[in-house]
Amino acid sequence: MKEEYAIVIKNLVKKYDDLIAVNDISFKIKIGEIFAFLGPNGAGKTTTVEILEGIRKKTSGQAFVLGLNIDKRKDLEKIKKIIGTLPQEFNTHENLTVKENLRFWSRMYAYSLPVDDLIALVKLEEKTKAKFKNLSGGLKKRLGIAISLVNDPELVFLDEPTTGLDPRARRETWEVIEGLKSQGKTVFLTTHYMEEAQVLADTVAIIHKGKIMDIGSPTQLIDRHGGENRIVVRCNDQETRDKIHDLLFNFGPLENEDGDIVISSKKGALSKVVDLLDENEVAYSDIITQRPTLEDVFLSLTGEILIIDEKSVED
Amino acid sequence: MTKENIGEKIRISARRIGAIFSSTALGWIRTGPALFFTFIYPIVMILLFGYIFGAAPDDSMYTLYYLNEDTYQVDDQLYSNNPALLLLQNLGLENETLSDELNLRLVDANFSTAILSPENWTKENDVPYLLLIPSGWSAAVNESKTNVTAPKANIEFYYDPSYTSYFEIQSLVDNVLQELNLNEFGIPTLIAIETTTTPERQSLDYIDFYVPGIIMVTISTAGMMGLVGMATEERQTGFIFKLAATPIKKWEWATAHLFWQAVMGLMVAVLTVLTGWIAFDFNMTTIHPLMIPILIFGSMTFGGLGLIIARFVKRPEAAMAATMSFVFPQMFLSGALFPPETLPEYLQIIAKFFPLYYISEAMRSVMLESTFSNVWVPLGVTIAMGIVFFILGSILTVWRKE
Ligand SMILES: Nc1ncnc2c1ncn2[C@@H]1O[C@H](COP(=O)(O)OP(=O)(O)OP(=O)(O)O)[C@@H](O)[C@H]1O
Ligand SMILES: [Mg+2]
Repeated sequence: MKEEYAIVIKNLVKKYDDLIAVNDISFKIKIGEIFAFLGPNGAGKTTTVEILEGIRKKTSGQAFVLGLNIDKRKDLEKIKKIIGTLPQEFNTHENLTVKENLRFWSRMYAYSLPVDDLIALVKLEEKTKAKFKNLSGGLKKRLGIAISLVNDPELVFLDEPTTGLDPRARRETWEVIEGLKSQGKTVFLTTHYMEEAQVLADTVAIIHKGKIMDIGSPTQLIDRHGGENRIVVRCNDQETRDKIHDLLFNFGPLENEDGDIVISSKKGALSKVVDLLDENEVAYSDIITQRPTLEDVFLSLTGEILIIDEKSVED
Repeated sequence: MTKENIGEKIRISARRIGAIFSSTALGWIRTGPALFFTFIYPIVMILLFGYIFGAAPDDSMYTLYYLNEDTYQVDDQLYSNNPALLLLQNLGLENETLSDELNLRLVDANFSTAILSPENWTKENDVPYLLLIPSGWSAAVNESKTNVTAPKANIEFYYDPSYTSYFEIQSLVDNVLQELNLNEFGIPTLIAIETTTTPERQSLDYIDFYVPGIIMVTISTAGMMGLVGMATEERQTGFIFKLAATPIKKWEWATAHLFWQAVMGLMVAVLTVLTGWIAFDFNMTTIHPLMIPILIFGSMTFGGLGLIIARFVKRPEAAMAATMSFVFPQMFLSGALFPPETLPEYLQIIAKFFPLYYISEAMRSVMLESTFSNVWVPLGVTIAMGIVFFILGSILTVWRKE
């Protein structure tokens, strides 16, 4: 029987004393896709991942990983052979080098990939002889990703693989993750970067306070909750800003944190706006249309702002 | 299950155990302080115990000052008729001679009690003991030989009780007096004590007693602290949970760490023996191959205990405190450093609840041929404890977060 789903979760609940960290969630992840668990701090992402990895007790509900029941001991043993994990707080032997650490973890498995290939994959060739304790946070994460792949797993859990990375390293990590997908692996990643989910994920589940708010492809989620496209008029000085504001009053103008004027883009609105501004000789610097993002989805689903992506991550 | 299957399983387990063992060893070698403190501890202990309890009574020499105020002059050539000279001769022969029994040196105090009281003389000269033969003593002795109603003839012994060795000196003088009573004056001693050292520790010097004791104390302390520290730290850094998400079994993990503790134990043992040998002439012939299983199962016992403590006390500092409150009483009560017979009875009973009691008992029994036959019970207990605590430690270890 060929499994269609890498993960099936039914009514999963996790309580810490009176705090309900995971509140009756159910969803499925198809084999071979990149799944992103998107949510703010304390949403319950790590808790869910750890339950699936078999390293945290659940309160109730059911979960199947690659068709195997996490409640059955024999099944769990099999699961551990075919999954890879990157913990959110990844630590390994401090006084061992990059290469020694990789070798250590590969010896936990009956079958493992060549250590040098993994080093090349995450671009750590220069650091093979550096001790783990002397690596920067970003390099530690990259080693962690390499270690999560030592057993050539079918399913990889990456708990915040890019948190704390600089934009370049983040992009490189995205490439690695896309590479995993092209090898047919399933990737379960957690993140609070909406851009990351949007770029990488086939399916995104938005989790907030232990509840799944919605699940679907980024496009589906945006169509459902993102609202209309927007027109953004960029301007450089307060006088122009006020002028635009007055001229576009009927469109219900808003201001974003960059001081740009934002209006929702109904049919034909763009040409009207351009005409109006040109007729009045307004010195705006740019005018663009924007699709709503997962950020907007999150805002509309929860009434809260998820996270402002670092300015350094630009298009 | 097929044979190849089992062979393959063993190979994979061995690989994991080897990986943990070698990474622990490598990490340990690369941390200087850990290396230093593991080895400095038994060396300091052996030097300390060796000097404080071992060497002192054997090597030191006592000086006994005497003052002979007796001026008995009859027939000087014949000692038998001059009890004062006879006594001094028996104590260690005349002036400034050594008595081989106790390394006793006799020195004539050479002062006059008419000028200075013996109490003041000892005080002024900072002398701990003084034997005084009063004037007329020999005459009194000779008188009492013929006249049973004559008063007893006494000599005087002055001592400073803050010197604990006064007792030994006094006993010696006492013994000599008894012998004189019997042999020279024909007064029979009706009852007497005859002392013989027992075969158990016959040829065991203090150092021979302490070397195995300190090895076992170090192994028990280092073993428990080592595993408690390792287990709580791995939990705190999350390392253990990353490990738990791989196929490794808890028993493989525990085996690797206990094996490492046993290897450390062997290193400590070798080092302690060498220190004892170089500094104090430790009797190497007491080394016996059976000490190796004792070390291994001993390490397993304490490693297992460490895992059990770490299971229930999760915060590293609290776990260390819990370990200390076990390790310290065990060190003093278990008989590893002090013979358990010297303890009050109720403490002797408590001592038997400490694993170290049996392990050091086993260790000491194998050291001498005469006690060798006693080894089997404590050795059996040691092996059983090693296995039980190892299994309990691995089973109780929890690799799943609550
Ligand atoms: N061991 C624990 N005991 C009690 N509460 C816990 C424990 N672990 C997590 N929680 C709580 O459960 C909730 C979910 O935590 P979780 O770590 O799953 O969130 P997360 O989505 O991974 O957050 P982050 O993005 O910060 O990693 C939080 O409110 C957290 O405080
Ligand atoms: Mg988390």
